[in-house]
Amino acid sequence: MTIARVTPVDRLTEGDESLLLYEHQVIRLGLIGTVIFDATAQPITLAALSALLDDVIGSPVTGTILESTAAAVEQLQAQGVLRVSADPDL
Amino acid sequence: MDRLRVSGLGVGVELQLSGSRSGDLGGLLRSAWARCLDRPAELEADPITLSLETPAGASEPASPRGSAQIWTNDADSLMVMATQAVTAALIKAQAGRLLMFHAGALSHPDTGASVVFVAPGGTGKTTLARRLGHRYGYLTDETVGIDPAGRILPYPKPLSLRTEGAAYKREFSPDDLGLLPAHPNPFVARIIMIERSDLHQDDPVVEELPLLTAISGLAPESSSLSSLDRGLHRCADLIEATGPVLRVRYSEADGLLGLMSELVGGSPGTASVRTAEER
Repeated sequence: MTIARVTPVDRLTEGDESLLLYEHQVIRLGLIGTVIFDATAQPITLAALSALLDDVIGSPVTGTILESTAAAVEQLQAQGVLRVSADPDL
Repeated sequence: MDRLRVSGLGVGVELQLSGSRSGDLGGLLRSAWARCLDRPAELEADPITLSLETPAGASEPASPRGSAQIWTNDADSLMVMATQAVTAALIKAQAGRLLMFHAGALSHPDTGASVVFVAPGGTGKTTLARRLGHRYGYLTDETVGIDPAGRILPYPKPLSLRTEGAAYKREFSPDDLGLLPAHPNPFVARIIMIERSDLHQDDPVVEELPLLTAISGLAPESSSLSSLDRGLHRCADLIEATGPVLRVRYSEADGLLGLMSELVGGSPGTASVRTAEER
């Protein structure tokens, strides 16, 4: 599985947060979302993304970093920020 | 065919009046749209045809959305539909050019410093414009268009007011309501997001919004933001130039006079407001 971001029309960053402008909506990202967005300019695997989040933010209080990364990716995918593909060459 | 040209947001649109009652319709439109007649405009929208007669075989009334031809036998209804159609045409013409918000705006009559009050439809923009427009110049109660320099392109359209016993809202000229004319060169002094509630008992509550919170709140009340080059940055630049967006919770429009005075200065305006019922 690989993960890549959907390119927005515009992006505004302030501190650790971002706003993404798509054709019909604006999405606000917190720290974790912003890190994921930055890391997915090119397709990346869930494992690699988890490792990156572990380095930048650290492990979650509960559960594993892989589980929390997967949950965040799922949420961002539902918002239209990420594309997830089974094709490793996405 | 009778014709008149109205303009707002820097866009002109020709209204073509057809049918045997075009003379009556022209009179109504010229009165209600008095402040939008023959103003200079850089862009031109497609013409809109209006009729107080339903064509043979046509359904009645015609929907204004996406249609350049509108007809109905009821004058009040047609006037409201005409306003909706003109507004849609102006917004469409300025998509990708102006920063546009669903908002009203009032200007200091001497300086042009203006407050833009953003809110969803039906939540207080028209009432605020009508109540405070006897002290501050009326720019619009519907859509505010802002160029990259922060200048507001006025759209002093008729105000749609509900009157007792009427099935439809009626369109009232800002002149008939005693609203002050706007300064010729209005500019944004501050953006406020208004939240009116009958449950709010006290003085207005004013809160400065952080930049991203403000833009997140403004975006749903914008038009064609994604058509603009770097639309989020256009918003941010405007806010940074004019000060933090304010969220204002209030119950009575008159209670915001003090805030207006703080933001753009006190107004010498003295014209009285007449409600639709009083006319």
